[in-house]
Amino acid sequence: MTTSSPPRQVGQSPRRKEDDRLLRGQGAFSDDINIPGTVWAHFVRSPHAHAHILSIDSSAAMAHPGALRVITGEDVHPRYNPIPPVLAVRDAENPDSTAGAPAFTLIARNKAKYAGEIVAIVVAETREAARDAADLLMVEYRPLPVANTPEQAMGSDAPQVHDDRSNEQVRWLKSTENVSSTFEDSEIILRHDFVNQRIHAVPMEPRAGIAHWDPATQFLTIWASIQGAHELRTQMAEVLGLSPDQIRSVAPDVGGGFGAKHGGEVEYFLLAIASMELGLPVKWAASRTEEFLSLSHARGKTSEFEVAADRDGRVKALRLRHTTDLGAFPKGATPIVAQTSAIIATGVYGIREASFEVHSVYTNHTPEGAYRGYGRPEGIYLIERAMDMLARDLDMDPAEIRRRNMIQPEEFPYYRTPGGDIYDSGNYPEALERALEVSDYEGLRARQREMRENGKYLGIGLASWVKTGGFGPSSLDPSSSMPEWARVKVSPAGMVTIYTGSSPHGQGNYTTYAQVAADTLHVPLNDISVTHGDTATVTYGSGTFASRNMVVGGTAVLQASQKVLDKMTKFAAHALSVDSDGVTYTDGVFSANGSSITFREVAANINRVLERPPGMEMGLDESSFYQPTHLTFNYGTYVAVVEVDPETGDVDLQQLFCVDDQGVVVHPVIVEGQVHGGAAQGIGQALYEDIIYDENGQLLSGSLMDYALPTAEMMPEFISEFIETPSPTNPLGVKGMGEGPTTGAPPAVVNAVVDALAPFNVRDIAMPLTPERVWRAIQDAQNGDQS
Amino acid sequence: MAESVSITLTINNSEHSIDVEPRLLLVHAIRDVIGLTGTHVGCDTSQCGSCTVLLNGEAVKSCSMLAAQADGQQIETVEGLAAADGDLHPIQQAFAEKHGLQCGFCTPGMLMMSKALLNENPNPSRDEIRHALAGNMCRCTGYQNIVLAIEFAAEQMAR
Repeated sequence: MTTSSPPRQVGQSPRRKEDDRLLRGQGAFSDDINIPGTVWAHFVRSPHAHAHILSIDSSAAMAHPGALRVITGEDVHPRYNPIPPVLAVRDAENPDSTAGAPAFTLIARNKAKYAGEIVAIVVAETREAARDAADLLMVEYRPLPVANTPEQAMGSDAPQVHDDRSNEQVRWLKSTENVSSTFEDSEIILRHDFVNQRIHAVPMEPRAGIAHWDPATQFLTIWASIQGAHELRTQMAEVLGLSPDQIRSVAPDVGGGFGAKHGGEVEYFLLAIASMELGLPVKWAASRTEEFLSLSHARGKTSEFEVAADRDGRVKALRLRHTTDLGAFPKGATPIVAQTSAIIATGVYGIREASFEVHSVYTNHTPEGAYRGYGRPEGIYLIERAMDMLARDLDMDPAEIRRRNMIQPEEFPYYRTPGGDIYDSGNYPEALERALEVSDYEGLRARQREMRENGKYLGIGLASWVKTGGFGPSSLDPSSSMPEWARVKVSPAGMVTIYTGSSPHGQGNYTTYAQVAADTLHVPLNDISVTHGDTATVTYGSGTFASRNMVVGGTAVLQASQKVLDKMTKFAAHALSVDSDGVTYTDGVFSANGSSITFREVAANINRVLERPPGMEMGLDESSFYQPTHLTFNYGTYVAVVEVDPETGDVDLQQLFCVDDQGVVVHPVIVEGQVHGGAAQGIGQALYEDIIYDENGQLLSGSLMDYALPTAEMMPEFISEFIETPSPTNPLGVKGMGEGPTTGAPPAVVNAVVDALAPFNVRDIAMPLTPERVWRAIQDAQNGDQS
Repeated sequence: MAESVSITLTINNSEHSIDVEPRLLLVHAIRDVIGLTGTHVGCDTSQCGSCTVLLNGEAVKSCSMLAAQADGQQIETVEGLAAADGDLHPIQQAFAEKHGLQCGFCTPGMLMMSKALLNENPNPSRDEIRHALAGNMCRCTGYQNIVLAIEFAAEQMAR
């Protein structure tokens, strides 16, 4: 068959198909779902970071009008299983501590391990009654000493977070052969300690869920604000001791996730348990403070970083030692975040020798989990800050030092880094040069010189970054390739339905998956709908995370669409009395030898027994799995422009120029929106956001009053451009794109601020760069106290 | 059950006479009692603005007033924005046109805030738009396309 397509949908920016409903207030988020007879759960959480639970007296709570049940760890632990860890770390130096990682306990029993850990569930007839009754629950605690930083927790006399194992969950080493000798032989060694502070994803929709166990059919339905319905079902079956066939899991409209809603949310299992205990639908909607206390945190790492270079600025080797704060439990895939973070630290550069050392440590803090970037922002931050420091030491332009070190286009495809990542494709110097051009870098430098003469401090910050996409097999865990499934069905009326296991929560896949199918099937976007997020209608799904929706989910949609087209072509060939090879498909019409049959005619006639070729089944309904064989690597160069007021320490971030290569761009407007939003979260880390604990392990920044989530006035102008080197790893040529901007923005912004303050000899400022920190850094540098 | 009060709320031109607990927040009356779930709850400290509605034409955060305080007043929610024939309001159209929403959770509050802003200032500058959004948080968009959408809506409405 030959095809000639109508104007391609991929590469266009049609209006999003999902918007109309959301704009009318007709979205169905989890808290919007109501079932008759629903009762409400309220979770009672430990006020202490570390404490023995001596007793729980529920008599007053149960006496409250409307109270139905109090469930504690004593009720849950003997009957239900903990949440199993998702990923193992295979090459840890200390396999005992890793293999023995404790599963995530559903609810505290005997001991609470972080402030916010659930110690009881109070169920009552209404939301208000559940809260009132929970206030009457008497829990007696005996506070214990707190493991409050990973460094302290690694000490020999530190409080044990888990009674049966050491606080250091992972000690992991990886190195190329000649790191020490390269350092010994090098002309320049730069050494610096960096901090990536703990932050919080803050999806605008707080989690909510409703679990409904039907005792008559022994069947559980759960609606939850999650990134993958199927993963929840799998875990739910293990925890509850049910078959997955007894569970329907639904992710309805989800108001942002950013990784934090990716599995392992104890609340949903406890809702299901409460529903099974009571035989009633049980609902919960988190308060924002509950989210800060219990929805996973991320990024918390301190890092010792060293690079060896020659006097021309060519970096020969690096050494990295990450110490990461896991919090009290290894949530989801957290155990490998620090390792992925470490091995990406050679960045976009051809550094040949590297050693990585990772210490992942339990503390009495909220568990860490996945968050947009999944370790790569921390690793890239180190090398991009170090490149600027080295440039300054060598009196070299930050652009020039990057230029000298970048992996060259001819080294692709499949460049292998010292850490074992295999970069699929790219042209790193082109992204750099384009970013310099778009930002008028030389012009900015001229303006900077001019402004300095007038006592104004403009700063220009570069960051060249790389970030994985697609969740193919990695060197850390070759078994970790996550497949995705799609089904494409054409109704007798010619309407197309796509079923996908990767459910969007803002990414626009109602539209972009339809674009992919439209290009194969030549049907208008309006004739295509997308169904997702429900295990009752979607056979299989891995979920939405790791910049995988288009790379993996989109490829599955493409493959299933092609299967449908193949069958339609066979049918058309039969109808037109030719071989399939003789059929041409153009703009929705199959033709051969001057006769033709339309897409809609095939869709209708394939259901008529006398029209079908012998042996062909009726219907157009095909599904496909796509199992990625590689990771993809998107990359880019960002340029941040700031003006800093040295009197107040105030940073005015004016512009962020973003040049991204995400491979083939399916929907430029949506992809640009991902750049804005991803970069905004990176800017949040650079300038504003901070999870702060006091000396007792109490969360101080636990509300939107205390945690500086950026508002519109805190954001710069984003200027976004793309270059395109298609990924060779998948037929769409896409690389994934949600997380790169979150990786690129923090070092670009911090480099810009430090660049602005070069006349004051400021060398580094720890994130977030609040006015106080900036002001203090200037004072310290002026007093000769180098940071 | 605590004692209840009888109140009447006029929401999107429909009158609702309901009995509520005195402590019930307006947002919960709108969502849980009346069943208009387009208005969202995103925080507990009046920061996020997802619950923004118009009270007698002015933007208020419906999580920071009691339902009883709104007795006898006119309320407009996101469900009341589109025309009776279903046509989207120019502000809604502008958000679709400029990709001013991703997950859509903050969007109802953004739309209502935008309407209040454009009522008061039909031709706002970008800085004025950003300032007006100081009480409405979005975690998906980085705000740029929301600002462009409101600017575009203002242009369309001026025609």
